[in-house]
Amino acid sequence: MKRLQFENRTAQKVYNSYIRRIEQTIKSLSKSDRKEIVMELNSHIYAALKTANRPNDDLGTIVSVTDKLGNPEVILSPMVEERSIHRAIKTFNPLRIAQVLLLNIKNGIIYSVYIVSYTAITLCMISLIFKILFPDTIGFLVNPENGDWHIGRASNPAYQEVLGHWFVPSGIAVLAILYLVLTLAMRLRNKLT
Amino acid sequence: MSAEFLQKWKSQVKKGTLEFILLSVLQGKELYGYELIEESKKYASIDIAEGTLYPLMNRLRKANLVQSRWVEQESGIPRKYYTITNPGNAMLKDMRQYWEGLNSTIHKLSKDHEEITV
Repeated sequence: MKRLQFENRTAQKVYNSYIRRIEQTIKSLSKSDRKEIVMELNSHIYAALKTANRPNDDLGTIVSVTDKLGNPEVILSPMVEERSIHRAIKTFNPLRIAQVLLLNIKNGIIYSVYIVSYTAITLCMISLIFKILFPDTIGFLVNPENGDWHIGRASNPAYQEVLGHWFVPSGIAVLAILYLVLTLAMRLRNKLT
Repeated sequence: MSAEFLQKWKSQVKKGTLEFILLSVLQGKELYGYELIEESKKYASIDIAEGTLYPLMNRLRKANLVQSRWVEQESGIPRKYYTITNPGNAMLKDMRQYWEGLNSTIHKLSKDHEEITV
């Protein structure tokens, strides 16, 4: 992208700083999205400067133009939220999903619900690792006397592990389905809003 | 307090009509971002940050109500031009119909209320 050049050094600094703030705000987006957004706002600034036609007041003009455009952090946040969520759920990439949820935690209770749900899935995944490490004490435990059950560590001898070697594959299958359903629910919500 | 309330209400009404204004301005024209904002200002006093209109245009594009294309310029700074699509024109027609209905309801409500107070 061609950057604008100002004779006034302070005006150049104001412009550079504004573009830097835009780039910082949209850094979580894809390369093509970032390029598109910066190019469009740069084009707006150029058109506004040309229309203002105040050749001897670079500083006053760039300050006025960027002021009218608004704070990049504020004006771009809805777009960043929408596009970053779209990108994360499109790829089903857990790291991207985690990043997007943490970035949007202040944007509504629904993100807290997603975080709790994904954390629960992650904790269950960890329990699968523990099952591999401690096959005799971790698993799907059932008390044959009263039918009580839980997933975790066998601290009470009344409980028996019933899934055995099937615990890990069945756990992976259930968690994968939960992850898929949760991510598809996020995708549907994103589409509807 | 009442002035502040009125100001907030006006701002909410304006925000709610922005898509309608942008689609109306774009009808039958191809405009680039800055031009579209300037043109919209002629019809409505947009007292929100101009930059908020770009995410809005992105939403309209995502909904297939407008389409855009980049056009290279001699200056080396390309412009992104927007045009309204067929679904956009249909949406605008529905919006106008709704707006006229709403306008007529408010007009009737104001008139009836005026008669009561007189």
